[in-house]
Amino acid sequence: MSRINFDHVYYTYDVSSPLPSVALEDISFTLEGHFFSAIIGHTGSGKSTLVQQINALLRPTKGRVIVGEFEINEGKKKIKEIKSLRKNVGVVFQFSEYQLFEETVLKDVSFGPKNFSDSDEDATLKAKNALKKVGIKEEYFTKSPFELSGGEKRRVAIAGMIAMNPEILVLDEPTAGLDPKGAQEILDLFKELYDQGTSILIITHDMNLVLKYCNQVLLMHQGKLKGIYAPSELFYQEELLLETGIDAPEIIEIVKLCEENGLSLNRKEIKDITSLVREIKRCKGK
Amino acid sequence: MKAIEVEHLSFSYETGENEEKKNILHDLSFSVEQGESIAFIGPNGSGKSTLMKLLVALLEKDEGKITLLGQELNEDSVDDLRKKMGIIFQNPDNQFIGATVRDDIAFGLENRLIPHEDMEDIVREYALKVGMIDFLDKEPSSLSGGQKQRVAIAGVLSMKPEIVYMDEATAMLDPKGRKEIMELTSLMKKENPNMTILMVTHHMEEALLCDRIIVLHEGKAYLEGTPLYVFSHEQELKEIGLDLPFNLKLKSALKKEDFSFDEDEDIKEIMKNICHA
Ligand SMILES: Nc1ncnc2c1ncn2[C@@H]1O[C@H](COP(=O)(O)OP(=O)(O)OP(=O)(O)O)[C@@H](O)[C@H]1O
Ligand SMILES: Nc1ncnc2c1ncn2[C@@H]1O[C@H](COP(=O)(O)OP(=O)(O)OP(=O)(O)O)[C@@H](O)[C@H]1O
Ligand SMILES: [Mg+2]
Ligand SMILES: [Mg+2]
Repeated sequence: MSRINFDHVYYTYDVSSPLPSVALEDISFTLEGHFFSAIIGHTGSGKSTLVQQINALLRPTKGRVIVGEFEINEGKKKIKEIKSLRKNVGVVFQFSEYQLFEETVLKDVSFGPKNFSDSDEDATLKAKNALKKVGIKEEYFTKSPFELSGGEKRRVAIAGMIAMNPEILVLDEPTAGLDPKGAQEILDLFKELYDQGTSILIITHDMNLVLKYCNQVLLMHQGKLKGIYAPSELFYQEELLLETGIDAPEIIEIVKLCEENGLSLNRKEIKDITSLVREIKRCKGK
Repeated sequence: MKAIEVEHLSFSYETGENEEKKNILHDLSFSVEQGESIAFIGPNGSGKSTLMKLLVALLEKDEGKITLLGQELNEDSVDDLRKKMGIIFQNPDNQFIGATVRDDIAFGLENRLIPHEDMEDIVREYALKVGMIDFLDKEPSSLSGGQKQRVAIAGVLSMKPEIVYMDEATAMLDPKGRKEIMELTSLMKKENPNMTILMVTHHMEEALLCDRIIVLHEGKAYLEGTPLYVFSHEQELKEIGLDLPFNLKLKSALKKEDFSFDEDEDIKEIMKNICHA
C-alpha cells in the first residue's frame, strides 16, 4: 500500500541569499492506496520542486513529507534510509538526461537493481526487460547513453526506474520529447504497471493524458495547491481553469458544443476520441 | 532566393570498433524558400536534431551539399553564415552562457554588434514577449523547465536571425505557452518577411501551423508538402508512429463509425450537424 503525505510543506530556493525564491507554500495533501494521479499547473507553479521533495533530493524548508514509512524534513537523514526510500519511490526528472551516467545503456539501466543488491545477472535481466518495454532495441544496449537522441534518452531514464520495480513511480513530464506512438506506448506501460499494483504520479502539461489515464489531479497555482479534482470534473470548471492558466483538452470544447446542441452526454465516460464517439452514438441511438 | 538547399546529404556518427556504422541521414534532399516556415516531424531517432546540427555546422556531413542564403556552407563561409542563423537546442541548458537571464539574452546581441544603448530595450522587449520580464535578474540554471525554454527562445529571436532553428523548443511548455510562442514566431515573420523558420516538433498541432511539413524517416524525407497534404496520409503516418492533429483525428474517427459529413467543413459545423441529424 502506497502513501505520500505532505504536511504543511514550504520550500524556498536560496533561502539565505538576497534573492530567495519561494517555490512551495503550505502544501498539504495525502495520496493513498493505489493511485494513478497527475500534478498539473502553469510554468513555474512549483511542480518539479514538489516532486523533488518526494525522494529527498530537496528537503522542505518547513513542514514534512511522509512517504510510506519515511519522513523527510529539514533535518539530515542517514544515507541508508534515503537509499531504501529511493528503492521504493522511483523518480524520473524533467530533464532526465542528467540521470544517465554509465558507459553503456545496459549498464545504466542495470545500475539501480545492482545498487539495491540484485546479483549482476538478475540486474541485467531486469534491465533488458525494462529496455524492451520502453521500446529501446537491443542494438542500442552497448551504446553510450550520451550518444542517444532526446527521446531515446528519456526512454532509457524511464527504463532505469522501471527496472527497480518501485512501489511508487513518479514521472516529471515523461512524454515530453517522445514521438506520438512512443508516448502512447509508455502510457500503456504505466497503465500496465498500475494494474499490477504500482502507484503512479505524473507531472504533465498534456491534459489529454490526464483526462484519459488519471483518476485524480492535483492542481498547482503559484506555489500553492489549489485543490484535488477528478479530471472529468476539473476540465469543465471554466473559471478555475482561467484563473490557474490551464487549457482544457480540445475534446472538452467538443463535448460542450454537443451538449449545447441537444445531446446529453455522460461526461464521466468521455476520456478520449474513441469514448466521445461512442457516447455520441449512444445519444443518437446508433 | 532559397534560404536552404540540401542536396544528397548523408551522415553517420563515428562508431566504436565493434559497432556497425549506420547512416542517420541518407541521400537527403530538400529546399526551403526564404520566409517559409517548415516543420520537421519524425519518430524518435529519425535524425531531426542531427539535421539541425548539420545545418549550423556543429556536425560535419559525410556527403552532399548544403547551401544557405545563397552561400555554400563550408569552412570559409561558416563564420559569416552563423551570424545569420540562430538555433534553439532540444535541451535549453546547452544554450545558456550568461550569469543572469538579462546577460544571457544580451550576449547574443553583443555578438551581433548591437549598440550598447539599444541593448537593454531589446532585452526587455523580448523578455516581455516570452513572459519572462520578471526574471531578468535570475540565473538561467535556477529556472523551471518551461521558463528555461522561454528564455532560450527570447535569446535567439531577439537577434532576428535570417534562419531560425527550433529543436523541440516548446517541449516543456503547456498548450497555452506553445500557442503563445507560435503566435510570437508568426508575428516575427510578419515583421521580418525574409525570416525562415525550421522547427522540429512532436506536436502535430504545431506542425499544422507551418507552411510546409517534411517527415523524416530512415534518413530520408518520407513525406513532404503542405500540412493538409501530409495529414491526409493518415495510414502512412501511423505506420511510422506519428499521429494527426486533434480535429483531423476526430474527423477520421467519425468517418470510421459511418457518420457522414463534408470533410472540408469546420469541425464545429460538422459536430452541430451530427447533433441535429
Ligand atoms: N534551482 C532553483 N533556484 C532558484 N529558483 C528556482 C530553482 N528551480 C526553480 N526555481 C523557481 O521556483 C519556481 C517553481 O519552479 P518549478 O521548477 O518547480 O516549476 P514547474 O511547475 O515545474 O514549472 P515547469 O512547468 O516550467 O517545469 C519557479 O518560479 C522557478 O523559477
Ligand atoms: N553523438 C552521437 N553519437 C552516436 N549516435 C548518435 C549521436 N547522437 C545521436 N545519435 C543517434 O542518431 C540517431 C538520430 O539522432 P537524433 O538526435 O538526430 O534523432 P531525433 O530525430 O532528433 O530524435 P528525437 O525525436 O528523439 O529527438 C539516433 O538513433 C541516435 O541514437
Ligand atoms: Mg517542471
Ligand atoms: Mg531530437
